[in-house]
Amino acid sequence: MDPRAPAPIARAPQRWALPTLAALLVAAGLFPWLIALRPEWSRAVFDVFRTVCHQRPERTLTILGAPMVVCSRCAGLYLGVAIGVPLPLPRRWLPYGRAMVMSAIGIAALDVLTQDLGLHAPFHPVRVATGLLLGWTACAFMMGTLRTGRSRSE
Amino acid sequence: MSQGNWGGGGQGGGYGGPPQGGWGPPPGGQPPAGGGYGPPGGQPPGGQPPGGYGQPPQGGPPPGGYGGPPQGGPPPGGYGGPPQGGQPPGGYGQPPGYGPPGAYGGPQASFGGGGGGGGGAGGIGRLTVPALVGGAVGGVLSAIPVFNILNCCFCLLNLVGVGVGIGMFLRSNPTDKITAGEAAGAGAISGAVAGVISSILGMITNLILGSALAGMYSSLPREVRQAMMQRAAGGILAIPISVMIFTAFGALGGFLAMQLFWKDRLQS
Repeated sequence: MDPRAPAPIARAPQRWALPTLAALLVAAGLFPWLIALRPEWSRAVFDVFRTVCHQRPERTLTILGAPMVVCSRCAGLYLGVAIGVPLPLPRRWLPYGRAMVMSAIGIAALDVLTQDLGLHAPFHPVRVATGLLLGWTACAFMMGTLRTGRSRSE
Repeated sequence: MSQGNWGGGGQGGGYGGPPQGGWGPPPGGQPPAGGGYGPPGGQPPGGQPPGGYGQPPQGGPPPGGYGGPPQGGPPPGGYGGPPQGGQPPGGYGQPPGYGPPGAYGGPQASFGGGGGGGGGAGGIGRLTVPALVGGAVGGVLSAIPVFNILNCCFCLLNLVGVGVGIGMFLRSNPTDKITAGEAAGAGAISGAVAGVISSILGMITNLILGSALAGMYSSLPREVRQAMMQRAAGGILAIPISVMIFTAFGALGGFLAMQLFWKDRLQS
């Protein structure tokens, strides 16, 4: 036995931990979208999201006549997080995970910069797309890494 | 070069006690092939002459020197072939509690006996306290009005709290490493705590500001005052929602913090 091998019992993740985390990520990621389907509920929790999003009306999508609880970039980011759970990075992509996340951050930052400098108006499809890319790469990288680690430990 | 004696001080080799740091790292990072990390007092396996690796003694080379590995085959002793008959006595197995701190720098207790601070007690439990502290930091920062606008950037203040917690742990355990799963778990704990604290503090702030404003603007229409009070009381809903959001982003933040900022401390 290789004495440098990790102690499997001490490091084995809890079986419930990863499914719980996955469920939490999906719930958190879909929450702003699902609650937008009930405008009265959306209005009720609108203020709760004030601490995590600026909620500017011109940068927020309106669904069924009510503004979403987060701006369009955040909405894309939340959706990307939810998508990253069932679509994790494949194992062969994991070595590039850091670069992918950094690239997604760079693209989103570039759009924020050009938009806030007034070079272009807020454009919802681009905002949603940049947020979605960032949310998906971050979550897919994490889920791919954790699933690979769990399968290795099993 | 006599007998390939590479150190262990002037006591003749690595099987005796470590007079001058005799259990130091092997040159080139390779484990000693012929013993040398064993417990004090062990016998040389297979009657081999004393050898073993160790730090050179202070104050001049020992007789026989420890210059370089001899060329042209194994020397008569020291780092020859592995001893016959199974494990060398104390080769580089698990020393019973007196190994040098951080001998191999790994977090597993299998090496170095106490090195790395992990002591084999891996898992998320050792990260709980730093994670709670980080969560408190993130929660308080997220509850500061105006300042919490920074949370608009990927829950930045929450991530700061997560980073503070993981950074605390890594600073207090300089040789330890943590897995990606532990980092995500610690981030989730920090996020949950931050969600609870920020929503409670936010609710208190809203109640104070809301009642003050309602009293100040008593001339406002009744509907407006009612809406303000409802908003102040609506903070109850904020607790479970904030906990969910902050926990999810905390887990992501813990994982990404390890991947991006402390990847050299990441256990694969």
